[in-house]
Amino acid sequence: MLSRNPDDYIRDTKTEYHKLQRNYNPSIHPFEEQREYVRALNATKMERIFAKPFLSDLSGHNDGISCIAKHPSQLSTLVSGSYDGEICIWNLPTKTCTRKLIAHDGHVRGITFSTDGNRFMSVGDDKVVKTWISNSQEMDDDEDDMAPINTILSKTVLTSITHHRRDPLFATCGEVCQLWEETRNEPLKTLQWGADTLHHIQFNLVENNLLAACTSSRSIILYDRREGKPLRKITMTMRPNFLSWNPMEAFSFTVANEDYNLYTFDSRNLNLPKRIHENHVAAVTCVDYAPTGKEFVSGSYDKTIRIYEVEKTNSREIYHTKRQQHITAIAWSLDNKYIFSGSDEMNIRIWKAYASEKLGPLKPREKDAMRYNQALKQKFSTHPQIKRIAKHRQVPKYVYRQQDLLKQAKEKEKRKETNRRLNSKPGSVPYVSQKERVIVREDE
Amino acid sequence: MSSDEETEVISSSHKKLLSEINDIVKFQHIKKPKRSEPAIKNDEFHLVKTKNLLDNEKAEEGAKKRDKKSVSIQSVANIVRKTPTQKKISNQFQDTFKQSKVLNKPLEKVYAERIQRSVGYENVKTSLSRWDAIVTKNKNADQLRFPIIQEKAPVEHKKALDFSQFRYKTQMMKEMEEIHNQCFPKLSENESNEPSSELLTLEEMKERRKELARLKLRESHQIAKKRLQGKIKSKKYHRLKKKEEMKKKLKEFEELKISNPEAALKELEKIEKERVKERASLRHKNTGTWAKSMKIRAQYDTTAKKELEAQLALGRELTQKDKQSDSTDSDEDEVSTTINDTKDTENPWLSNNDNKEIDPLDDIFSGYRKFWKQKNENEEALQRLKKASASNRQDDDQEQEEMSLHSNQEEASIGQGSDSESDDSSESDGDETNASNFINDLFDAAEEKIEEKLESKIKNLKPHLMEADAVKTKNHKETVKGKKRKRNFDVNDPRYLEFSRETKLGDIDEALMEGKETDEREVLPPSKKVLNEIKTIKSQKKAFMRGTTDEIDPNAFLVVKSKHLITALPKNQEFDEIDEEEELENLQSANKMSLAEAFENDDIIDDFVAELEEEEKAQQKDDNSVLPGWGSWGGEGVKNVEKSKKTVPIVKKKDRVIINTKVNDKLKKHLISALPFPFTTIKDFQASMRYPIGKDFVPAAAHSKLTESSFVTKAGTIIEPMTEEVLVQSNTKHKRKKGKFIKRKK
Repeated sequence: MLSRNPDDYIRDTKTEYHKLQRNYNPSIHPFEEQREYVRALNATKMERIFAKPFLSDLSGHNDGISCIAKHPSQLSTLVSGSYDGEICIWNLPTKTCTRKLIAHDGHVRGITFSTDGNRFMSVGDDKVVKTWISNSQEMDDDEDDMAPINTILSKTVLTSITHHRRDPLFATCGEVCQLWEETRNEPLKTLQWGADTLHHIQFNLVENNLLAACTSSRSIILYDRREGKPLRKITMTMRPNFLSWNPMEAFSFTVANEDYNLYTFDSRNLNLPKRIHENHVAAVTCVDYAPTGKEFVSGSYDKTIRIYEVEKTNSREIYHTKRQQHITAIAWSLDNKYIFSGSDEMNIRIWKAYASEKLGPLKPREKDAMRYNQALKQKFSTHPQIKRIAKHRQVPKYVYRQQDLLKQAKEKEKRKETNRRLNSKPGSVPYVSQKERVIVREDE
Repeated sequence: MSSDEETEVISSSHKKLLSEINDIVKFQHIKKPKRSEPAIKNDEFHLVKTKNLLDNEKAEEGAKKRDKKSVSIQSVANIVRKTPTQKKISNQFQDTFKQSKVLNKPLEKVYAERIQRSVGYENVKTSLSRWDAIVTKNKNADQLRFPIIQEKAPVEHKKALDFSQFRYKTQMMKEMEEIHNQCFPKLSENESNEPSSELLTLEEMKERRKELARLKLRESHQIAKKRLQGKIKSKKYHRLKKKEEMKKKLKEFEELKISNPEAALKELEKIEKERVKERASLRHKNTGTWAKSMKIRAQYDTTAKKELEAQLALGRELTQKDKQSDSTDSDEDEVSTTINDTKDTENPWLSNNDNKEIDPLDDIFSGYRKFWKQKNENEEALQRLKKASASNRQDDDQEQEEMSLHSNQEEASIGQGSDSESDDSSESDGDETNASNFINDLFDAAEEKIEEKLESKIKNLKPHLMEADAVKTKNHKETVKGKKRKRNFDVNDPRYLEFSRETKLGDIDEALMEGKETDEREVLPPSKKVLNEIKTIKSQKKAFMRGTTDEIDPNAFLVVKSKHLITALPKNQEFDEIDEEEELENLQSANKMSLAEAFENDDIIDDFVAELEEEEKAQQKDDNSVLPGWGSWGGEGVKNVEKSKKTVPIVKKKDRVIINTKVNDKLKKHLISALPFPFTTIKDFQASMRYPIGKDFVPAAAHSKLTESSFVTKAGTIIEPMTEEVLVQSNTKHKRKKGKFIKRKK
């Protein structure tokens, strides 16, 4: 007869969990692997069921979004500029535009926050750098509030602006790269290499004095704030549109390129990209790193957003909606939870960074279950069924078709090359890797 | 006229007015806009030429004038030379004039800039390389917690000046101070000023507090544990514990003898004293040599029993008196404290209640009888063996043998007792040798048996081991080669820090399935397809040659089924390898037994036989069911084309086994067809799969460790980019995590 001590299985109070005695002897769990497989399969399916990344949109602009800036110390504030020269300051929890500033004639080209986040600067097509107070609270319609606290007229065209992480310094680019002090109206330093226009510049977040800029002559230039001259230039086969430094790795940055790919570079070894990130089917226009430095998000002209892991070639996720047009600006929130995308059709969209993540506080058991599911998914990720379910995505028709076309084109290229190799003198057609092919030259 | 006058008047007044106005407005009130910023780059258009440089002639004249006015160093040197005291200096001047050369023409701008750029880039490279270590560390970390909390470097707080020390002290004050110091001597330096506490940052203080709390908790745990241990009544436990402690002490003593002989001598004296005290106490009534021999004799001799009882009664009386007179308590306390570690002297719960060792005589006898009985049985077994080996020997009297054995034991015990007394002062050993020798014999026999078994097993295992060794050495050689190769890496190379991680989890990097879903086989180019087919055919052939597919031995299945043979369990759960086979055999036999026993009433064996027959019949039916003409054309001249039967793997029929030969198509698609990317061997992959991570299969701590996510973020917290403080951060954290011995899979 079985007799058990009731203390072993009866809980003391109602609020306690039921006690469970377990024997971990593996010989009495002969099907543990199979059971875990089934659990993993279910977890994968559930993940796909709950994958609803789109949260909401911020509408209020009257023209396409040209740039987005994150507040360095407030998660609830976002600033965006549009093609008609307006700047909106958004309150994210309420999803409202708290202030609308008529900032520039023509496009707002770039916005950047000061170190403490109390001010932000914007540049536009009118060759002006304007400094604003970034108070997100709603203000009266006084003239003072709507006016910038400082205006600097530049002699050259300005296309982008970036602020130093610690010092009251910022850099602009256009015809030349200029370094400014916040309190001065003249640039501290002007750096120039060649006569081409620079269209994007960004300060390194870790090694604070380093800068990188993209030029219209298909090249990337590295600057140091302290040096009198630029440091290095590489020229690629196609134009780099945007670049973003990794906030957790001082030396690596990712470039969004016109040739549908993204390239991650080690700035110490610029003649070869560390990794090529594929899958977009049109020019990649913008990229932003997650604050963890493990992932980044990119927006493209193909109207989709893709999330990549830094170490991987293929994207982990694709986001799209029916009415979303070309993505022009993208930002990953500083708490690693949300993604903001600005697109041509005047909307800013808020997405979840992890599509199936449950928002809000979780109970410990819930948390544990999530972690277990995550671990299971990773453990069995190589199994065909799980892989199939986890990797399947419904995409817009144009992306679907374009992918096919691109595949064909790639295969054609490959075939052609092999044919040429077969029909020419051995050794005359060398094998060149994709990575090598991308870089045209490196200038000292 | 009038008009003229008027105009004149007007003009004069107007002029006056104008002049007045002019007087007022002598200078402009509105200033021209100016730029106050210091301009770094001067435009050439803004440059103003000086007056002297306006025309060349004037300039030349000016230069001459200046030359005349200015004093050249040369002339000064010449003048100075005349004075003998300054001669040295003038010589130095001359030398410098001789040595000075015209500087080289500066490099062309293009090249100069290139050099500047490359130097700048090299500088940046070196400064970027500082981050290599931390980046690699984060990459290989089991888990990263964001935001990464960075310790701030300790900031020295300047001590406020103590002005009291500058105060003038009167004679009276000095005397008072002296007296005060005599009465209350100053605290030791350690207590009086703690320099470290002032340099601590908030984080460090917190850390320290945490550490202290942890220590306190541990202490309380320890106390609770000891308290529980003190409550344990088992005599055996205490005996063993005592022995262990004795051994430990002895070891310490040996060490002390080498390191500090004087202290050791003192210790020896102390031990001797304690021993004497212990002997003098009335505790060892039935553990002495005499008592033991009497006990043995008491089994056969009633007088001996009586004698012993009388002795014990006397002892009891004495102890009772002792208790009343209270002296024993303190004695016992002392003893217990000496037995315990010096650390625990203050712990009141550690004192063992040795009084309880006094127990009724019958109890001892019963225990002894048991032991004796066992001994007798062993003896019998031995005899039987002897009989079997040499049948001609006569049976001996059991008692006689026992007696002889006993005497032998006694002799041995005497010898050992003297030994023990000479080399150590352990009283219990000396007393218990009589019994322990018997036990030792038994243990020896058991050990021999085990050894024999082990040897046989090792013999069986040796060939396998040899193979494994060969593989190991090979591997080792390869790794050595790899190391050599690795050593060639440049230290400045960022790859220098990287190390190959053991692949324990699948890490697929594949595109999302957005396009047409194609089978993997279709994706492969035709040449590869053919290759694959060839491979599969070859493997099948091989299998046929080996005959693995034909014959399936159910016993082999059984062996495989015992999962713990192959599972890579966490270490604490691992089985003793030696016992595994035995266990398995036992298990099997037990299973057989239980099958028959459990279904005694159900008669399942008959049922099974019936089922078997049915199955066979069904198969025969299938064979017969193929009728000519069914499903095909019939009539004259039509050949009977045999239908291609489904190829069913031929399985050799075994008695009493029904083998399910149906292939489960539903299962097929869940199986892996090829080794996934990061794995290089099937073994690795299988190992990664075999590891259970669920709560149902592994303990909670292991579960939480195994399911850790690779990074953790806190909701609503901003993750700042890395700062340089990481580079100077001291690694002084004492984080203790649960399940720290469980390595997380990566």
